[in-house]
Amino acid sequence: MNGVQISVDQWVLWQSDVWPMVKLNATIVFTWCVMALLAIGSWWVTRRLSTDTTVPKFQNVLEVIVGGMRDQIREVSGRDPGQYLAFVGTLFLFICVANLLSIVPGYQPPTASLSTTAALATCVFIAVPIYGIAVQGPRAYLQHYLRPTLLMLPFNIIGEFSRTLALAVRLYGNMMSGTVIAAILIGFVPLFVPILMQVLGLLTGLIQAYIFAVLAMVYIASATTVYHQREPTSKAADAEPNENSQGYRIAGEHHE
Amino acid sequence: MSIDWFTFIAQIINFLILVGLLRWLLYGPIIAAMNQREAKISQRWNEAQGKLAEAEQTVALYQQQQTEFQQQRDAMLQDARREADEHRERLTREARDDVELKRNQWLDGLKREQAESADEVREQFGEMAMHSARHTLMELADADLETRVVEKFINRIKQIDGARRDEIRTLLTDEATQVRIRSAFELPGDVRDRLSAVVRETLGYQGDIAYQQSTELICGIQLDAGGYSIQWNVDDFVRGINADFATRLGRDT
Repeated sequence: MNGVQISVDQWVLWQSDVWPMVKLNATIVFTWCVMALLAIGSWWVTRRLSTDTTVPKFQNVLEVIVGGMRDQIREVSGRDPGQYLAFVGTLFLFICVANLLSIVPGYQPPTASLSTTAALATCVFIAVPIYGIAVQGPRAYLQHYLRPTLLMLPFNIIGEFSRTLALAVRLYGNMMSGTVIAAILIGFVPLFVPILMQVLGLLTGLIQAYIFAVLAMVYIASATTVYHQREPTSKAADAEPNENSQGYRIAGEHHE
Repeated sequence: MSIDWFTFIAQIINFLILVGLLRWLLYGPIIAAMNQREAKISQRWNEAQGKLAEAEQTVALYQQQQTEFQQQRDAMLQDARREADEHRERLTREARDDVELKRNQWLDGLKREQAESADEVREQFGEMAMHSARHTLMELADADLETRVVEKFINRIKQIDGARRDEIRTLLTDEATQVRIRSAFELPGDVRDRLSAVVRETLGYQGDIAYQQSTELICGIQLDAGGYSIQWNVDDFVRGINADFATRLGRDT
């Protein structure tokens, strides 16, 4: 890698001669490293799980992490976290570990690649209608693009794309900027200041992982919200409709 | 700032693989372990609650038994105290009755002894008085005491008041009625004649008069006629003195 590279995608380790498009860049390799770390670490801790009241410390750490993610999902969505934990939790863990490993010399976070963040945002973009249709059914889910009026249909569709784009660019921008700024500062002030920037980068990476996961959960929760048309209680209510005449209900809970 | 589409697709696939891996290796086992632990803790909690309830029930049972035991003990103590009081009262009453009975027996014995002593004293006193009077009369008057007794008896017959004398006279008109004169000493013949004469004169009796000697009379003489009697003897004085003596003796005791 010569000089400051804007994207880690350009750090190509291997490229096919037959299909030049197929190449093994640093993004994919570091992603595999993160995946291996997560998978092997999980396997190593969970191979001997204790169900007694005394818990090994690594199991305790994983239980705290998984329990915290479940609580966060329950808090944000207001429903059981069981079917969302695998998707949202993996988003958080992957981004978090990928960002925190930037402390390792020579490592480039895959999240500093727009390809990676766009891929993750695309996963969210696809997961939202899947969850929405699974909970509400296709008709009810598609109808929410028409709310409050038919005129809002294009804006709703644009909103879907724009928020996906925002997800991708927000994470990419934060991580790429941290990497680039650190590389630039090493050229100007080689001592101490890059360390502070590294610490700031760790904090930023953690926060971005949290934001990405929580936003994904918020999108999924809004897509799985079940709308209910309230029955008019009297003629007066029909004559003077107000904003309380409509409400929405989240499965298992009732909000107005 | 461009997207490498091969990397893009590869990252989507990588992410989906990671979701599967973590679901298999992390979330499933960890959540299962947490649920099992929660179930164990819940089971232990329920068992502890059950044992606690059982312990509280046992404590309540023991407290109830203790209360019942205390009540039974109090009741038994009360019964025992009441029976002891009744027994003591019965014993006291029996002892008092025994004492009263013995006291009465003792008093009866004492009275009997007093009476016997009084009789004995009276007899001795009478004898002493008679002996003393006889001796005194013989010494002072130089006369026979028996003669003086007879004289005194004759005076008493003569001094009977009119109403009584009439009753005796009326009684003696019946021939079946007999006059009998008893004396503590042997009356000489002339004395008997004199007595017979006085009786006939005073009481108008014409029949035979029977004379008897009786040791019961102490230095005295007595006339019996159909239920009436006229007498003079030392025994009257002795009885009077003896009664006074017995009265004083009883008061002193």
